[in-house]
Amino acid sequence: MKEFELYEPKSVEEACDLLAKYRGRARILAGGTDLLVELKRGWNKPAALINLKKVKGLDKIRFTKKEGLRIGAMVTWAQLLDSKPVARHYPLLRMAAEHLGSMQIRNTATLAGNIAQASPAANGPLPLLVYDARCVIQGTNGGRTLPVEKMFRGVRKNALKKGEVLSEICVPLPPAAARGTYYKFALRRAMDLAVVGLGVLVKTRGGTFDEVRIALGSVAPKPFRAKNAEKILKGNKIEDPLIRKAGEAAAAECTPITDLRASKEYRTELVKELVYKGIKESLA
Amino acid sequence: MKREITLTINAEIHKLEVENRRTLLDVLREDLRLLGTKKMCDMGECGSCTVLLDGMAVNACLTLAMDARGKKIETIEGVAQGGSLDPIQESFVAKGAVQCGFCSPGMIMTTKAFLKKNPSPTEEEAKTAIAGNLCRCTGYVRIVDAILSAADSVKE
Amino acid sequence: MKDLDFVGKDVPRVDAQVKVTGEAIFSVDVTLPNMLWGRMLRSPLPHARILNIDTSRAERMAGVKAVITGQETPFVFGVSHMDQTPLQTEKVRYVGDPVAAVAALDVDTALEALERIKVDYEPLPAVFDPEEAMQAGAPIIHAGTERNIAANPRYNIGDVDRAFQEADHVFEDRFETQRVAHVCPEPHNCTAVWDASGKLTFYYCSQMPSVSRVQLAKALGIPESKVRVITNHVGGGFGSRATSKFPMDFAAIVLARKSGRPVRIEYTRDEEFIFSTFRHKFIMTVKTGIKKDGTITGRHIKNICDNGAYCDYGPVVTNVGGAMQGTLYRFMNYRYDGYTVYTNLPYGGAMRGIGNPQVHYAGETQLNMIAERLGMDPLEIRIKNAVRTGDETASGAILKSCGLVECLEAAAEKIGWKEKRANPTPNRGLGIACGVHFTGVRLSPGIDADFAGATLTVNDDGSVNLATSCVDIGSGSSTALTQIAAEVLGIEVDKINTIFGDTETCPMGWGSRASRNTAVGGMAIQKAAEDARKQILEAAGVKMEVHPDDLEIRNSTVFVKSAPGKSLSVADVVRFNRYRKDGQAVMAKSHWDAPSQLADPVTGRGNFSMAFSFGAKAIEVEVDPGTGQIHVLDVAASQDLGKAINPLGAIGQIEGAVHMGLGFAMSEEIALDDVGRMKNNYLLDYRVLTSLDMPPVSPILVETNDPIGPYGAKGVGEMATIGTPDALVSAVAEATGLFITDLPVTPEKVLLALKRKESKLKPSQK
Repeated sequence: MKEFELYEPKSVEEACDLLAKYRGRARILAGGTDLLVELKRGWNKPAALINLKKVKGLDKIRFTKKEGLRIGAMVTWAQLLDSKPVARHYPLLRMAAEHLGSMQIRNTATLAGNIAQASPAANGPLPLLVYDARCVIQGTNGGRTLPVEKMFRGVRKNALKKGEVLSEICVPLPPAAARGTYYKFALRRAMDLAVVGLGVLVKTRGGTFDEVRIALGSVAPKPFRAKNAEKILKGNKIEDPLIRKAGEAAAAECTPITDLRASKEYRTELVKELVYKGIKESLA
Repeated sequence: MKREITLTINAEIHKLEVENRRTLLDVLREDLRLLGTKKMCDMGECGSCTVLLDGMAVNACLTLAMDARGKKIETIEGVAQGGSLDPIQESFVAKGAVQCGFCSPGMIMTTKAFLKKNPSPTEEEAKTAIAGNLCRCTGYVRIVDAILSAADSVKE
Repeated sequence: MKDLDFVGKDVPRVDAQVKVTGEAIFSVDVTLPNMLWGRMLRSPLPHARILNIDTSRAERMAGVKAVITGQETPFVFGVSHMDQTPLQTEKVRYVGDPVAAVAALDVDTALEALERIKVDYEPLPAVFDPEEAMQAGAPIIHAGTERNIAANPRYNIGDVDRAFQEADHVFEDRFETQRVAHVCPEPHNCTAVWDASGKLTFYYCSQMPSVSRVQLAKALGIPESKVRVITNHVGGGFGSRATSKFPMDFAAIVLARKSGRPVRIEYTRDEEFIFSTFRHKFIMTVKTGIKKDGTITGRHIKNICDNGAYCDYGPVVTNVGGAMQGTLYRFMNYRYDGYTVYTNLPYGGAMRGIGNPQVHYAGETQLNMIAERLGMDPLEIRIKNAVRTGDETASGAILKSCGLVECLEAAAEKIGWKEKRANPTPNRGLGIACGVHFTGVRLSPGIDADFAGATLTVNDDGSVNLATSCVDIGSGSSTALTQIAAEVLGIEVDKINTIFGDTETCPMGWGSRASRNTAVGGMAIQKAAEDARKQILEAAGVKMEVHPDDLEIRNSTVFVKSAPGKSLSVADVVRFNRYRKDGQAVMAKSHWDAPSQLADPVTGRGNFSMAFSFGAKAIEVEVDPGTGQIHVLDVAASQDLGKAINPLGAIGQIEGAVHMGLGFAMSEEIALDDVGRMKNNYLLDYRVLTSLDMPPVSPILVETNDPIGPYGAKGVGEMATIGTPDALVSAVAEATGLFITDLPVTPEKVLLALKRKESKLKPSQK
């Protein structure tokens, strides 16, 4: 890696000021498991890293029944796995944590970093999309919040402006009696990137779909909610052919690429199958 | 620009001068000549550089030396106590879990952190614990066996 | 036959303690005072003439202590074909071909210096496919090589055309296997240092240090006495270090000479993947004649080996694949046409099984396809044709021990072959395959040698210094050899210090390759230990005034058989022997050459190995028809290894080999771009199986007690690598109806093939 300045601000405000001062030539260092690899490969040569580890309170997970979950920017995947509220109320987030990297990576990498790095294959966005989570952003010009889906502008491009830091992720309680699942279809059972990622949340009433949320990853430049597929199901009778149709609709909403891991044809077929399976599993 | 830092490794205090970009792995191997922690990929994809930071297993190649300040750092060199092998090390030896030995330090450090947190693991939990440690020689079977055996022996 | 005390026991590895404490030193851990760091400059073009190399700017850089080009490395080397020089001067033949090297105070400086070297190239037309490279008009990669065919190993035994005429059915099928990498945990590295007397010490993670020494000395044009090779613990070899030299070796050696300081060159992981050789890609056609009753009448195999830009082990690899297919079944009409073809790509080398796994995949998969076409049981068809003890095979191998049928039956039983095939479960399938590999070998054209050496000293305290020519690259050879010595001597394992790797203190031998350590290395150890034992007994006989025949040694003590109360410790015997008048030390030596022959140059037949190991793999899978995902439910891996010197060690080798075999079968592939650069040279996208990916594995040891090897032992490590993809593909075929004939078998291949099959079957529903 090329040498860089290293700052250890004591507050998020200080971090924002430093980012602004460096005008795009500085990067936030949270866990660093993705960032340091970028630097080692020479894909990125920042003049400075702004380390969030000394900012107090960023490593906290807060939960209240009213507000739901508040996950600080330095909360690691391991902490999410250890968290009782996550286990109890946000099973999809827990599953995403279980399927991420390795124990070593989970001990270091952060959910916020996962979001901010904006890889189309990231685990984190899918449960958050399905739970309608929001990102809390602080900047030199004040703060704002953004739905998680709006955090992604493209491959490895997030919606943070210069001088902004993702400081917290807020996840409201999912609808009562909603059930869901998370799939990471990958070529290995650990240490891998999703070929297709899926988050599903379903709530039924009588024999019909009341609420349906489908989030897909690795099949477009950004993780997204498959709104057409959701519309096909919502309000309608629960029937196998309809669920299959939803799978096909979801596949039509994707723009997968052919890369080292899979062809776009395969990804398309997988989406059809996995959306179907995921919804069936959530109904079981 | 080098900065003066102090690292506490296996309960010993070391004063060093490091640049910001130096990883804990490189500092261990190059500056301190603690060669037990291995560099197999340097990208956090193999686990052979696993060390413990405050009891947590991390990849030393993705840890800046600067971020290891103030932490209790444990490497493979500190595992055996007073010349006696740790039960995990003994299990690895007894159960045939060591072939070329290059992944062994990382495996043992991962196991150490894991058993501390989960002293009675199932086979699946043990496999999950070492899923970030690649081995090319054993197929992992004897390693999982050694982990479960170490868990049993610590309980006795 | 007396009970064995050490052989056949699960003795813990003799080197495990230093490895679990991190104390074990590997070559990559070696640093010397004043050491410099070397790096090589590699060609960005796949085929080009070098017009000019200007190193002046690099030479002027602060921190740079030496810069060299091919002018300073005019050494020609190779394994059987001497077609390589370390740094190119005339032309480059693949993206990555080295053209210059620098040594500097640190790696950053070395890398920056490389950027200051200016090379002018004139691009030449390149060829990346071996079938294209063999066409008339293809660019010629090495001058004088007609149609880019570097070697053409052939076997022509019996009359294959008549065999096809006599057959009831003749089938011809095509198969392809992919390039896979060794992924040695310790990346390639070497450190070279010259002393004032002109002697070179070369630290290298070698599988055969004494051979490295010979070939380095020869290439450098200096006496062998001026070259010392030192190998420490080795972090995996798998054949990548059986090649005696790499360009990096010479670069480090010459940089060290020029700078006057030690120079280390080591690969990063991304370099290690592609520049330390790999398993060659094979394109094979298998034509088999078979009778109604399942008897194979003959086989003709054509194999195109995509060599890459330089031969390395390519011709041997191509040869081995051919030889072994004439060693598994009883048909005596066999033709093999192998082509080792140059392409403008990185080059392959020896990798565990050295050509054998690939050709087995083709032959065994075809046999399962034939079984399916004829409605026959794949197990029965194999048992019907299997070679047996005493056979002289088509390839000329003489099988003094052969447990092939036992292995097939054991694997089949373990997997539940009969029951599960009688009651098939939807989406599940079983596959079976078998194989054969050698124990030490003479299949390198022109190299008529397969020996190992041992020297042994018994010390005054009764401990033993044992030096072997075999390097323990992780396979456990040092432990097995120590057990053999312990058994013969009657001295406990923990009193024996086994060393290897230093050409100054260890004897000459062909090192660790071809699964030979336990058997060939073991025989050398056994002979030396027998000699030492004889010396101990003679000295003890003098001291105790008893005939040596009335003495035995157990637990480091010499006992009088007829008067068990009378005994003397080995230590006392050795001391007595040394300090008496005309005293002697207890020291022994051995050079053991395996009883095997080079093949007849015309027919290709010969008994090219001292013994042959057999094995079978039976695999059960479940395939998800919606995603193509393959769940491996169970692997039964049986192996005839003659005698398990260390059963736990053998089991560990088999389990590791199944891991490698599953990777070869399902998830590993070197992906090259259109000019031969590796796209996935990092461990995230080059998929070695993790612990969570490993299915249950049941190794089954079959002991046939070979008459030649020590205590009946034969080789283990490579035979265990054979058969996994063969059985897996066949299991998937049973589950899906589809035989995948190009590896790896990925979920994508399965699903897309299922979809294609579906659309073919229901055209009216489209």
